[in-house]
Amino acid sequence: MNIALGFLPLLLLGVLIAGVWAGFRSLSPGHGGDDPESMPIDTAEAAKSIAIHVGLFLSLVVCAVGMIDVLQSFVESSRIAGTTSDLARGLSLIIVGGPVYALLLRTVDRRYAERAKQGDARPHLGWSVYLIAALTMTLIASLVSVSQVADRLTDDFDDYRPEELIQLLVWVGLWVAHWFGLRPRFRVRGDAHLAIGSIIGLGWMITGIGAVVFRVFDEAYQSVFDASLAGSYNITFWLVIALAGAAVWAWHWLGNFNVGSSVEGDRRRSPMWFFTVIVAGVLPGLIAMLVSTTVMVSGVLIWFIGSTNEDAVDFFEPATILLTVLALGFVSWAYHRWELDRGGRPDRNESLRFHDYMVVATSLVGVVGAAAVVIGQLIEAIAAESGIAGSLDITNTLIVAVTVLLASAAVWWTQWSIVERHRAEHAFDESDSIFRKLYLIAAFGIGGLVLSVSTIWVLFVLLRDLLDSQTSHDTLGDLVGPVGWGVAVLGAVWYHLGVWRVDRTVLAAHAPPKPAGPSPLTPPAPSAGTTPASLLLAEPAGVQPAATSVLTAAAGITLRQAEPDHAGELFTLMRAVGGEQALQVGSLDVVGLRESFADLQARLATGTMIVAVDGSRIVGVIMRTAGSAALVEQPLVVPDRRNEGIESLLLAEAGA
Amino acid sequence: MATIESPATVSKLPLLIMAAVVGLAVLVTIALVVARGPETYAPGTPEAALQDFLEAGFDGDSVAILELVTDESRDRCQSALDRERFDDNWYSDGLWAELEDMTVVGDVANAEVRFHQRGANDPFNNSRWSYDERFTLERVDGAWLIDRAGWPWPFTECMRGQPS
Repeated sequence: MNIALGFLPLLLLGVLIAGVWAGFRSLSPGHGGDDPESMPIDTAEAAKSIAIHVGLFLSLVVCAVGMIDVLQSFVESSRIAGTTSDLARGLSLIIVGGPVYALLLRTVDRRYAERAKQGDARPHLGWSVYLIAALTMTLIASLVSVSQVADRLTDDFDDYRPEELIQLLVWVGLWVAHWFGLRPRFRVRGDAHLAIGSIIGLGWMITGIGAVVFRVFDEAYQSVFDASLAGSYNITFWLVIALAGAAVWAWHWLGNFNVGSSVEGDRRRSPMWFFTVIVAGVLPGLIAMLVSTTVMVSGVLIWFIGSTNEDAVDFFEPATILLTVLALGFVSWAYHRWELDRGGRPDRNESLRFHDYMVVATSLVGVVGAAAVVIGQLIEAIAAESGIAGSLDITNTLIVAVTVLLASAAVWWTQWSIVERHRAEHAFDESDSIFRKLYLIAAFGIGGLVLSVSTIWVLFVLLRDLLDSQTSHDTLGDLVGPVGWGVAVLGAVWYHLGVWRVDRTVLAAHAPPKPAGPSPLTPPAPSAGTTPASLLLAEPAGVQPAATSVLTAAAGITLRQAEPDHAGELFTLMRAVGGEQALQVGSLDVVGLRESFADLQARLATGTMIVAVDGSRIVGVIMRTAGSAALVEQPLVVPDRRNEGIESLLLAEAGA
Repeated sequence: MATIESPATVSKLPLLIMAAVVGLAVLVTIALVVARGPETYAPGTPEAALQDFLEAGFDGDSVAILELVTDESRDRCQSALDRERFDDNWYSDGLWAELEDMTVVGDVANAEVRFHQRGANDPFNNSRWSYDERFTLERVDGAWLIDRAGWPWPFTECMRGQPS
């Protein structure tokens, strides 16, 4: 169990990294709408940029520490002995760090100017990373300083130390300088700084509010059930923490990130926005609600039908913190779900899929873990012999395991049904999702590992006791863990193998057919980046196919440009083959079903369809469009003439 | 976009089988736990006396324990009872015992008992461990009483014959 649970953080980390990567793709070249970068990376230039901005960050830290040291030396009124080494250190740091920072900032300024002359006015990537790091560091340092000052002020005002206030002012000042001074001047690429600020503020705010709510609940509980334990709680400190977090969250989230548009572009519903809403709000809220509810329900069941030596007051005391977690989890979940749906349900995208597969994966771990425990308890019960005194008491374990199993299974089933509904509507998009693939990879990878370890464990126990001639009920007892996990994981892997097979079918059905061989008369179409049902051809934009009536002939097949008279026959062919495809992939979004008869007639007039004709019968068709890049749809061939190379002929001709 | 019934649906057979396996496991486990109680021994036998002693130990009932031991053991352990506060400190959750062996020679019986302990505080902790202890019983006026015992631990020293 412990071994398997050890993989959970790895799984979550992997999915988190994938999510971060998806979010940060908007920062990278080629993903911005105004990003024309397609040139190779200049390694020397990149190394220079890294050196400049790392130096800038380090000199910022040096200056900050120096300023704190110097300013603190002015307010240390209680010094009666010792040296002024702090002042000396602070001055040294500022004397070195200040000019270095100014020099490097000037260098950044010049680089901006040079690039602007070359027509590149975008925010620099190196600068953006520096600015995000600087804003994050100063923000966290400011919040920590707030907590230190608040702790002093609320705990014992007589112990107030101006040094900590100086520290707070310096960090806040640096954050203000970066936000209001440097950010508008040099700008920043992407919204990572807003996402980070929103997440930090939200976490800080929820921690503060949670502590206040918990203390209120706890005080009420103690005063009602055990007055001797009731005491006066100092909640002022946590109120300050909550207010500081709320200010940070409101500034980043409400004021800057969660807005429809800004001078820097649309922010709501960007990949980073989705990632922030889902990872910082929806998922933690959902997990908090599930865990607290499950623990509370199983606790009540243990009290009534399980066994415990504790009295009611002690047994139910954790209810205060569980209720706090439940309440805050619900607020966070409900608010962020509302944000997701505000302004209409968003089209399904990878960020939403990230959410769905994270929920599915997390609940699956709960299902498998609880099932493993239940099966293990069965083996334990079988292995236990009737004793002389006492008995195997596994009621509590069963109660908790069954509660977790039911809760996790309900969540998994609900979320998985949603995912499968989307797959039914857009089979290729869902099956091709990176997060669906990661989910399946994780299921098979971790499942395979657990199965391997379980098998080794079972074999070891059996062989050990067989070779020592010591097989007994204790042998069975030693198999509780490996058999429980093995059976539970086997069931999960078995089901997901079915999922993988279906996905493979869907992806194969949508993949463009591979040419069986080069056309005898025309060169094969160059392989290029593919879209689900199209090939992006490597030819100049706007080039039309040759408008000859007879294009080529091979193996009794004539390829020719389709004519308006072909409309009826072509429409019948497209619908017949399209119906086949739709049944195969579980979606109506296939080539043969997209166009109405009127659309087809209009397309025929443009001369962008090529038909394969055997005698007088049309046996295949391919469509192409011309625009910024020429697109070729998947070729459609009648069932009895497939695998004869007609698809390849059509593809080669359309790409010629 | 309309939805059609796709033949490419995932088989739910594994889910149904797993649900059946887990449901059956829960029911059989409950049945086994409920059905299996401690063994029943005839009154007046050393096994029955030992069972009473162990049950008293599991309950943390020091008064009952002292009624089931010989006078010598009671004298030795009375002070231990006062000092150890047996009732408050005893913890026997997740503990049960099996009688491995019982040998009776005249008025003396030697028993070997295997104790099993499993992690009781953490429902998901399946760890368990076992240890063996020996008990000596004497027949006094027709009744079997415990004279030497390596368990329960608050009485370990005195029940092994060492004055406490």
